[in-house]
Amino acid sequence: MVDRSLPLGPYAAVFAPLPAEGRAEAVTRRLGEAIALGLLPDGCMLPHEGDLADRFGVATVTVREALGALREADLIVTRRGRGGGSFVRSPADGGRAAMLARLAHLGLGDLRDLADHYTAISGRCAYLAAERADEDDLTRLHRLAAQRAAPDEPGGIPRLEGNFHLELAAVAQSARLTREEMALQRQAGPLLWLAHAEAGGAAATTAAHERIASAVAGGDPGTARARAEDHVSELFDSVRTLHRHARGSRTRRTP
Amino acid sequence: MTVVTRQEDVARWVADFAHDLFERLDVLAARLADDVSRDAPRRADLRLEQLCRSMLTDPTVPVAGAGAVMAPGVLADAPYWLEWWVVDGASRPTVSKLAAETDTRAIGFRDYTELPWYSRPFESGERHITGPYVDYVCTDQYTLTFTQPVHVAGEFVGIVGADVLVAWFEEHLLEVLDGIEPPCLVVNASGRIVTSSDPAWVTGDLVRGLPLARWLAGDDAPDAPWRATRCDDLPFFAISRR
Repeated sequence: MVDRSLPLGPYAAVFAPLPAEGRAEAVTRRLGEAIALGLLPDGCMLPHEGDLADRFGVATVTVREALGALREADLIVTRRGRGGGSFVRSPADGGRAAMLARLAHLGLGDLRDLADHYTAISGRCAYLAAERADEDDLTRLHRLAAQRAAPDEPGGIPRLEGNFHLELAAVAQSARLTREEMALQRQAGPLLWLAHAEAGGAAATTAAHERIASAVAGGDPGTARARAEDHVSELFDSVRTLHRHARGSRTRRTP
Repeated sequence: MTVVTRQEDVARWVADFAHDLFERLDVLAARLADDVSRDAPRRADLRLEQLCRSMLTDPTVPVAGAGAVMAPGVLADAPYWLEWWVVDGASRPTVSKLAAETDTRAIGFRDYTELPWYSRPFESGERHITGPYVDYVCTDQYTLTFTQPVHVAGEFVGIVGADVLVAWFEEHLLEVLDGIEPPCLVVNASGRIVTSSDPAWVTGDLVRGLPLARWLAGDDAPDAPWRATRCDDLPFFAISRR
């Protein structure tokens, strides 16, 4: 399987229909945040205007307005003619500024609650995957666990993280848990993974994925769950560390 | 008079269901082969919509999606192409075309040639049933996908197929399974449960330790704790405890 194609699940949510008010702003915000956080990788082509309008459930002119705003913010470039279209331009800092801005507005209690939720979902997915994975499932899971992000690819680590956890949910054979995993990735995924990468956790993440995959392969649900829970806890430890910095700098800026 | 259902009847029912569906896919395959037989066929030359619509709106066929997926390079105006329709809503079905990304550089693009519902019939030249699996790309549902290869003058041009939600399959099959003793399970070639009349075994569970390779080779495996009846030539078995 070509791996760039795997995250279509969470990507699909980026393009889901929007509520009625402030639609151009909403399109700008949703696409802008997805680009800033690395969910839409650098150099990727956005769907065409008409297609975007259909997916968001807005008029083409609204999409055009939003794309104009994104172009001004330097988050996309548009090329005309054959092979043309709008292409994602990841921020030079790999989404760090966007992440810190978002973190600064989250309370510690919210973070803890999010961690509780994600731990419950990931742990249960790993538990069920260990009970239910067949040979093909294990092959896919091991391949995803062994993947490394290219160092120059800003969205690489979040994508690998997202792929692995989404696959884990699918291997659990639960459509509901898979949808829940997608929703959580949309809300918190890039935040978690970028915070973890910032804390130098990329290698730890790869090791954790391989440990989870081997517990799943060993058909040991209890161990698989414990390893998945530990992995998610580690991710949230990194977020809390970063949260202190983000809050600290915000407080210092305030007179 | 009581009609006694046996495991063999369950296997027969599953085989009949699949063969009916594959017969409909034969019609679709013949149309596709015809459509791409001309020189440099284009997307507009594909005339599958009416066949797919009638399959999707037929209340006797529990199909959630149907269509064709082209081998790369067959169409002159699109390297990759899905000609696929999906249905939504049980009481008033609405059929719509699947908006799949086929521009290889775009975000939503998925190289389907690596996915089992495409790669297996491509490699084997035979019909294939994928699943049960969580289809997180398309339906977000627990799904069985029936596909078969299409050839024109010996050349592979793509696959035709249909999606059946496991829930629909189960609903129909449970009527057949009702009252069968001992309880009976339908499993795929990995031992994954499609439907079960035994509350201890549920859809999606894996029954471990089944002699699946021996069963596929036609061996009864009389030493195994499970007795199996293969669903004709399909990679599915109706099984029950000895």
